[in-house]
Amino acid sequence: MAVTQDHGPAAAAARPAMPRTRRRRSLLGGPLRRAAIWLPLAALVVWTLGPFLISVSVSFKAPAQVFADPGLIPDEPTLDAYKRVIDRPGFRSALWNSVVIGFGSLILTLLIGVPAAYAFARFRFRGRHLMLLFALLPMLVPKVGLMFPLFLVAVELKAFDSRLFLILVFTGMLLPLAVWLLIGFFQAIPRELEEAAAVDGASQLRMLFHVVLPLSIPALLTVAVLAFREAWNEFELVLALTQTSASRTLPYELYLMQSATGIADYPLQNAFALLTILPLILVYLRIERYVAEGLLSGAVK
Amino acid sequence: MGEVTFHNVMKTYGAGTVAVNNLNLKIEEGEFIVLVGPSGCGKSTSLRMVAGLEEISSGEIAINGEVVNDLSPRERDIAMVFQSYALYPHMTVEQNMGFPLRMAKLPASEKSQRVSRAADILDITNLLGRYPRELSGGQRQRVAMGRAIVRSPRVFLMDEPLSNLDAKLRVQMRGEIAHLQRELKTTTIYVTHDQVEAMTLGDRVAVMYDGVLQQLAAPTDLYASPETVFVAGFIGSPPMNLCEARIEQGAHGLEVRFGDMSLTIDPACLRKYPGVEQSVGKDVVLGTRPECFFPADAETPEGQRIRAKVDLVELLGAEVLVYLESDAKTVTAKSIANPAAGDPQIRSRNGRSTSTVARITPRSPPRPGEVVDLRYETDSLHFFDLRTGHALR
Amino acid sequence: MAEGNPTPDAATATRIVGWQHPLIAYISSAPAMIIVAVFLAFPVLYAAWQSLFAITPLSRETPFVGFGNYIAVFNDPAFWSSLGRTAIFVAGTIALGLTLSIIFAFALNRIVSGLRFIRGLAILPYIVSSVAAALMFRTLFNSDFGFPNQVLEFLGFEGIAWLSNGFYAMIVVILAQVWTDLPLALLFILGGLQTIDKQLTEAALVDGATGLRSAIHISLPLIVPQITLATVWFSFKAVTSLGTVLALTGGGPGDSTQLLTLEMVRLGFDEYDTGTAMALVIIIFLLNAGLTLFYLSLQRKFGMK
Repeated sequence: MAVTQDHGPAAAAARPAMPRTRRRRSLLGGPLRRAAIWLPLAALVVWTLGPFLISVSVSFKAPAQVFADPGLIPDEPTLDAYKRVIDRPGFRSALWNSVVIGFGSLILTLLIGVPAAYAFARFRFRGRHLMLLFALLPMLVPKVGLMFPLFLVAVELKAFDSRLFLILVFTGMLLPLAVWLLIGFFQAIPRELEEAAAVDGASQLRMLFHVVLPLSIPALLTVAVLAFREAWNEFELVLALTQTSASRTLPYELYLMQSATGIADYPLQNAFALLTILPLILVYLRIERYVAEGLLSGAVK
Repeated sequence: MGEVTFHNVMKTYGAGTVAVNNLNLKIEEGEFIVLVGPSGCGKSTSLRMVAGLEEISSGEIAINGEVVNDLSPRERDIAMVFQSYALYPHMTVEQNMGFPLRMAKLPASEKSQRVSRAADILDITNLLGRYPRELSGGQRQRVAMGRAIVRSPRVFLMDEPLSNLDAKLRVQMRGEIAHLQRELKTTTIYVTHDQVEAMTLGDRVAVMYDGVLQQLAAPTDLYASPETVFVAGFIGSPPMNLCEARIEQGAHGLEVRFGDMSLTIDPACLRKYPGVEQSVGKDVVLGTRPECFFPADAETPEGQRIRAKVDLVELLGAEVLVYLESDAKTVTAKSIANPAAGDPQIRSRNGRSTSTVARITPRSPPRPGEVVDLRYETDSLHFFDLRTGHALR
Repeated sequence: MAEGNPTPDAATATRIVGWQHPLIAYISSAPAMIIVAVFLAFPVLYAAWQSLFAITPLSRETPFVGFGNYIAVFNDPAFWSSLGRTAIFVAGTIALGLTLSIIFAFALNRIVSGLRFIRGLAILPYIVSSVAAALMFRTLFNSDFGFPNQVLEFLGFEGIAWLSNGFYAMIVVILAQVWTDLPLALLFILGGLQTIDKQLTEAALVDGATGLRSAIHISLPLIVPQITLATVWFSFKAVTSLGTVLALTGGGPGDSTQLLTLEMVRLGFDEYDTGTAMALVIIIFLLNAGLTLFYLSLQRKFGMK
């Protein structure tokens, strides 16, 4: 044991006498430096959570209480606002529309995006670069710019106020980002794995399903979450392309309700807003890491 | 110029991981000292504690008698060369070298004067306008050195500065660093895992293992009289053969028996390892240097003669490494520290130990399976305690 | 099994014999190309084309007017005032957004424990829709019970009529915009900081820099690409922001937050002046592209050479 004892043999031989001279504490090493880190972090937390907290607080109050009881913690918390939101037919239909359109867009995006991204990542073919450019460049097109042209297209196609049209539009909106992210992920999968599968006698389709896709589950999750979020939160295009409760989604419904109720019913509005956010938060809490890293990997490249 | 003192320095991480264990070390003014050891031995951590990049858990580090534990790096007046060189990629060579002076708020004229003097010393004047990415590995290394020397610090700290270079360049830069340090006479602490660098560069070499300083000595002493089994097994290429052996009273004096071989211990060895005489009849660790084996001839006395079966032969060119079969058990620093950790033996095809390697220059290389006759220089035997791993002094 | 040039680079990757027939690639990428073409590329071209015609609901005629719609836009004082407000809005968003995201990112980069938790919190606004965010800020900045006014009154100042004063309304709109867009910018910059070789900042410390000077001289110049990316992001989102402003102020009070995008909606959906609205769409596109090029040229000028 002695080799790892406290004292190596050399330590005993030459232990220097320690001259005691001045010993001072660096000011910056202490509380000041710690404050320089923790103060911004505290500010970040307040900045992020502040609006949520106020909104939650208001949503648990009765309309009359909002002005009478401005404190953060309600004197008489009530679920009344939430009940009234859920009882609204507009909310229910918008929720259903959001679910249908959200899942529709995410499924269609993956169904169309995965083969395309795989082709771009692994195949050599004539026109690949041009097609890639064509598929990716639209990421730079702002959605506000598409409101009118798509509105006119919808009217022409008699597809105005249709959920299917919204799903198709959102898929078109999402594909560039999805293809971009997926190409990156697919290219990161070592080619040797596919070559090994090929040597082992797997067909191309089997290889995709048994080798490539299982390895890209984090990527698919990231893309799915991004797609769902985008469809769930989209406002501008819904504003332009829908008219009735048959197809309008939550953000538009929220906007209409807010314009209709004005300043009279803050609890109702905030409860509505929070209910639209809640499903995303629940999903997000489970896969926060994928979202953060997926966004980054997409952004930094 | 400065001297650096470590006084009972400890570094612990979290729950009980000890990186540096009670280090005591005094580095004299102008000395070139090399900290060497395998990765994870605490050498880099020790260096970083001098730099102020790592907090000292307990104990004190002093530069020129001033305890620097609580000083930030910038207050310590030291310069450091990093393994990756850490050249600022957005600055030219000139700006890189001038950065410490700029931080010290030196006037521009003096700054450029000192930078050009340093560039001159290192022969990189023609590179001053370039960016790091436009430089070769060796040039980057020089710039990193340049950034360290411009400010004439009290101490140079170098953290494996050559490990990113290819072998040929490494030898060249090694020479230049030695030359530069002799000229500047600045106290230098140099960390490496490469024993050749340690042996060629250091005025003294500190061998570390498992957070503990094993031995601090001049390179020649390190080779000639290792203090522990670890140092014995670390210095030298190939390293010293270490195996279990027994001291016995023979016809011509004390003998050491290992496996089915035995050698008579030269009196010079007994003077060096007086503890051997108290170990008669006991098991010890025997160290033999591969390069002290020679082909035996008719005049070779019996006490220096070894006869063994060859398991494996490696040709190195003029020399060959011959792995000898024996029943002697291999010993390592790890097997002493932790006997339960596993068997360090490398077995021959016959299942016997191959704990002994000889480096010889025979007329014709032996073949595996052949029995060879070798002579060992018995004044170069080394003895260590089987339980503590310390030399039997 | 491989043929051709066996480099591992994806762009010149080898192909497995008899496997990757180009036809498969065309077939599998066709649906994506079609959808993108129909729903993204076509509308943009269509908008550009339509902006050359005078389209109003009052007449069935759609005469070709060339750049007439653009000239009408440029002659409209409402365009210039909304452009000015957009400029203020965009500049304010970038200034506040960059400052906050850089400070927050540097602080986050210094911690190890709790990093994931705080980073996870910081991303939360990213999943809030623009309308919901606007509503939360309306509540937050209510002049009667809103939190900022409570603080002001507690400190002995008079509360501010945030949303009924044009100047303050613009501030609130900027705050809401930055709040929703900050998470991604923060991730960009934090990602940049985390790719900096730790030895570089250590070298700066040993070279005598304080933490602050090391941040300014070493870290900041090295993350110029990420800062540029964040700038492009804030700018893009602010130039094209509609939901936030519409739900928060509706362009008011008066028209003090009437941005270009709101002007476009007013022209198109309220006045049914489709041709002019399309001209405005194209102008917004070009403004965006121009600004992005401007930021990139700035990066080239101040970033690493």
